[in-house]
Parts: sequence; structure tokens; C-alpha cells
Amino acid sequence: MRSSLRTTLLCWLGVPLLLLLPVTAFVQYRLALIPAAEVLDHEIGNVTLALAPHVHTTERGVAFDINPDVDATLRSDEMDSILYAVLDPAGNAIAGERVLADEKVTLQPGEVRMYDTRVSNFRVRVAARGVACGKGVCQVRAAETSVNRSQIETRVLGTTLAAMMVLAAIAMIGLLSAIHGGLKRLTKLSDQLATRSLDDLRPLDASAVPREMSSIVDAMNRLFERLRSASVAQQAFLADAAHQLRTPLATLRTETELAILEPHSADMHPLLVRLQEAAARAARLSSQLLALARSDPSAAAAVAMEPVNLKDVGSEAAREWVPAAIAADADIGFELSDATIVGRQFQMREALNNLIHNALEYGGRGVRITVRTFARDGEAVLEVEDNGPGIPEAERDKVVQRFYRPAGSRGNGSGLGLAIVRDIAASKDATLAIETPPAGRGTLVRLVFPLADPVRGAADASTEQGTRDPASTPAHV
Amino acid sequence: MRILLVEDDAALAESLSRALKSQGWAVDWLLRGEPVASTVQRDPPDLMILDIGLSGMDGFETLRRLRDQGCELPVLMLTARDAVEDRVRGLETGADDYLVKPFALVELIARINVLRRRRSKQPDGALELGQLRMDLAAKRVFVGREPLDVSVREWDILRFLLGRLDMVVSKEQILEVLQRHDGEPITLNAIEVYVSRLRAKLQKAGIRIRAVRGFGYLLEGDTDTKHEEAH
Repeated sequence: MRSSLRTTLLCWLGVPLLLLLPVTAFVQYRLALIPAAEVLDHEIGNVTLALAPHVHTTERGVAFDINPDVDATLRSDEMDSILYAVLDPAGNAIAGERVLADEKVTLQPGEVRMYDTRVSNFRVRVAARGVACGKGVCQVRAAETSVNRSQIETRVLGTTLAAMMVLAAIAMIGLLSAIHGGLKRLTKLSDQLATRSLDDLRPLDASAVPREMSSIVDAMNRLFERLRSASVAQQAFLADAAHQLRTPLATLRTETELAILEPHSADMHPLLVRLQEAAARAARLSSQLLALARSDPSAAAAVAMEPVNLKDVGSEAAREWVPAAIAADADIGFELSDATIVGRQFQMREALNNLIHNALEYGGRGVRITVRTFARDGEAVLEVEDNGPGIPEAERDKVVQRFYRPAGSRGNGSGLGLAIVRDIAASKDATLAIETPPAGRGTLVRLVFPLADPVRGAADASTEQGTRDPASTPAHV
Repeated sequence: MRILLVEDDAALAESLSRALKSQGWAVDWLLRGEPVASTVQRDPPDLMILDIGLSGMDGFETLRRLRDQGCELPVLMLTARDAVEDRVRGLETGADDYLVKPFALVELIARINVLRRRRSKQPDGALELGQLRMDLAAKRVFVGREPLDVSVREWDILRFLLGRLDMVVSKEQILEVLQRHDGEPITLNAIEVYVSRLRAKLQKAGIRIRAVRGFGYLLEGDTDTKHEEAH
């Protein structure tokens, strides 16, 4: 199981937060109670203060006199019961509730001490005041039940807990949003990379990337750069190789053709003819090998992708192939509509040239060939149909393999034509289909590409016009 | 006819020279691009075959200098590279046609013949093809001695096609040309009608306008072939 950044952040931030909040709430609760407690304590203390003057020292000892009204006033309280007791220096109760004398407390005159105790199972708060009486210290003790206190405590607890929940909720929402927002740019980058095509080697836009990711993006851009220069180097090598290989082949071909034209003995003739065919085959093979290498994704990546209108590719093919078709007595026709894809001009040309060449080569004299380009349902279609002998179903998978030529085929084909078309299709996320035309005889080869701009593609198809904005901007993160 | 061959591979140059001479043409050979401009000026050939991959100054540069001089010599470029950027660049720099090595001799000879026909502009500003003669100044067309009656649009189409002899031309291109001269909108169907009328008229002169199904037309410069039915 791979760890998730999101979960890690959530744990590292969320857990301490959720632990801290109750602690804070508790502290806050205790602190909030202090003022209330002080007020109540002060009141009880005042009761002892009011009682203290009623303690007298006589020859017979300590006496306490209080008239009933004063007693009633002192003990009046809405919520709680107030009790009192007066103790002699020995600690015996000489007035009030005896039970309050149980607690042993030593005081100086004027000193006040607060403490909690229980009377008849009720929690009471006691204030004990030392009063000077003769040589000793008497005590006046006043006690109050805790009904009021309890209510206050409950209320404060309630509000503190409520505040804590709200705070927790806000904090968690804030935390989740912050994590989500912070990670969003990371997921944007990874989405961007995931949707990039395999041969897209354009640099990523480093300016839009958070600082922490810039070293990753830089490393990737350096990698792309290295692949690009490798690809450029490969293309350069191919170009040089082409030049080096083809000139001697041209000489070979010309010489063999000249040899046939010059007077020669009859038994030399078949030899010369075979020589000429071999030279022609070598020539075609070398062209096709170079075309195959050029279409390879790593080599092709050096050339930028751009909007390519298949209609234009078809028009160019018309200009190029009609003379050859006339020479072969073939009837070549074109049904071209706008269909723009994102790709490379030279690859589209290469694919179509191979398909037309095949139709001419294997269709026989008088073959009828039709080239179609059109847009349909968000797809761009390139078709070449001929009414030649066709490709048997059993062979259709094999003919797209490199160097495969059906048994018994004549001519100087290299066996690479359809392999090249297939490679080009694969690099464009396109499909290649080999079918029998509706008429029942011949071959229909169809390439289907994703349309460059599905909405506009459909509109263009119906109005037969189209210009497009070049889509060549660096990838933004 | 005199051909200037500019090719840096001696073996190929030798083969090509022999091949061209066997057609009855005279051939001069230059190894490099630098002397081309002055050689052409001093001793103008009828046609030049120019290799792109020369050592030193390459074919494009050689051609550019030639065209900058105002030289209208027909040029056929040879290339080993087959990159279509080369072809486009060559045509833009001013080449008339190109051939990728290795090529069949028949192909080379056919293309040379096409170039010869295309650039046959007469000094008096007329266009000729076989029996057909277009007097641009007088705005009249003749087949042999007989004047040929053509409408304004047919004239424009014929002139355009003669300027693109042996080249495939799309209906849209013809449309564009007509609309430049004419304010009224024209449909592609109308083009078909004009061309078929023109075809019928030219058939008598043995001139063939071939239809490329669904696409356009091709005015064939080779009028030595048998006169067949235009359909």
C-alpha cells in the first residue's frame, strides 16, 4: 500500500488539532469558573464578616448573640441554604450547626480560609474566619450549598463544549480545504503529464509551478530535452544516410537501364532485365526503410505536431499521383472534405502515398481508385478504395507486418508500405482498418483519427470551408 | 536541346549524361554550384538539372542566385532526401519540378519533356500548344489558322490551364482564378459546365483536358498521342 500525501498531512495536522482542542476547552472551562467562584466565595466571606461582631468574650467564656431577623437576613438566598457555626478557641461549637465544627482548621484573628466539605451528603463551601476572643481565637464559619455553583458549572461547561465543537468543525473544514487546495496543483501537474501523448516532448511551463515542484519539472524538462536532441540527432543521421545511400543507388539504376537500352546479345537480355528489377527493388526498399525510420515515434518526435487538414494532404496527393495513374491506365478519383487532425504533415503524406502506391501496384491495369477525406462524429477519416483483386481476410493481419509480402506477389514492393501506415496510425491514436468495399470487390483501407476540434470539425464539414488557429503553445501546468 | 547538369557525384553524372545524350540532347556538366550563375549567363542552356546535395554551395542557394538574376531557365531538381520540406522549398525557390533519387530513366526523360513544353512562351507573348495558339495581346484563340470562339470565362480557364500544363489543377483553384476577374459568385458546378464546353471545343485541335474524378482537371501537353474520344 502506497502512502498518500493527503492522508499523511491530514494525520500530522488533524490529530494534534483534535487533541489540542479538548485540552484548551478544559483549561478554558476552569478559567471561566474562577470569577464566579470568587464572587460566591466573597459572599460567604461577607456572611462571616457580618457574624463576627456578634461574638463576645465574657467572664464566663465566649458568647454569641444574634437576633433572629439578622439571622434570617444572613441566611437568605434564592437557591442555596446558608448555615453557620461559631466555635470557641477549643473548637467546640457554641452556636449554629454543630456539624460545621467537625473540620479542624487553625486560624489567626482576621484570617479567612475557604474549603469544601459535605454536610448531610450535600456539597458545601465553607468560609472560616478567625476572631479574636480573649487569649484565644474563635472561629465563625459560614457554609453554603452548591446549587448555584453547580448550575454555573454546568452552564459554563455547556458553552465551552459547544464552542469547542464549532471550533473543531471550522478547523477541520479549513484544514481539509487547505490540504485540498495545496495538493490541487500537484494533481494538476500529474493529470497534465498523464494526458500528454507519448511523443510529445515539448517542455513543461515551469513558471506556473509551485516552488517545491520546480526541481521535478526542471528535471523532466531536461529529460525531454535529452530525448529531443537524441531524436534530432537520429533524424539528422537519417537524412545523411539517405543521401549517402541513394546517390549510388541512382547510379546503379540508371546504369542498368542504360545497359538495357544499349545493343546487347539476346542471352544477355534476361540477365539485364533481372538486374534492372533488382536495382529497382533495392531503390524502393531503401526509400521505405528510411520512411519507416522517420515514422518511428522517437525520430518523429523531433518534428512538432500541428493542425493538418487531410483535405490538403489529399489535394497534394492528387497533384502527385495522377500522372502515375494515367501511365498505369488507372482511374483515380478524389472525394475530399475538410478533416483537420493534430499530427505531422510528412507522416500523413507518407501514409497516403503508401496506400495509393499499393492500390496502383497491386490493383492491376485499369484499376479504379478513390481517395476520400471527411469528418464524421468527432473523427477524421482517410480512405483509399480500389477495385483490384483485394486482400483476402486471412492475410489482412499479416500484411501490416514489416517485410511481409503475400506468397506469389510480383513487383518490387518492399513489404513495408502497410507497416509504415500502421506505425503512423499508432502514433496518432488512430485506427487502421482493411476491409472489402461495399461493392464487394477490391480493398478499402481506412484510417480514423480523432478530430482536432470536434465542434468546429462538424461545422467545417457542412460548410466546406475552414481555417484553424495554430495550436502550438507550450504545455501549461 | 542543351542541358546543364549540376551534380557532384561523378559516377551518377556520367550515367545521366549518357542517358540524356542517348535522347539526342547535348549535356554540359558542372560539379559545383558556384560557377552556375556565370555559366548560365555566358552560355544559356535550354534546361538545368540541379542536385540539391552539392558540396559547397547547395542546390537551393545556387537556384536562388539564378532566379535573383532574373533567369527563367527551366530547372528540374534532384534530391536524395525525399523530405517534402525540400520539395516545397525547392518549388518556392523557383524550381519547376523535382525528382527523388533513385529514379527511373523514363521518369526523368518524361519530366524533362514536360518542362520543355511548359516554358514554350513565344517572344510575341502568345501561348502555344500543338495546333492551339493563344494571342494574349489580341485576346484571341486560334486552332491552326482558324479562330476559336470562347467566352470570357472559357478564356480565363484556358489561359490558367496553359500556364499549368501537365499539372493537376483543382476545381477550387479554377474557381479562385475566375472569381478574381469576376465579381459574381460562381459555383463549382458552373466550373464543370465551362470546362466541359471548353473541352469539346479543344477536342478538334487534338488537345485533351483530362478530368480527375471529384477533384479537377489536367491539360495534357503531350499532343502526339492518338486522338481519342474526350470522354
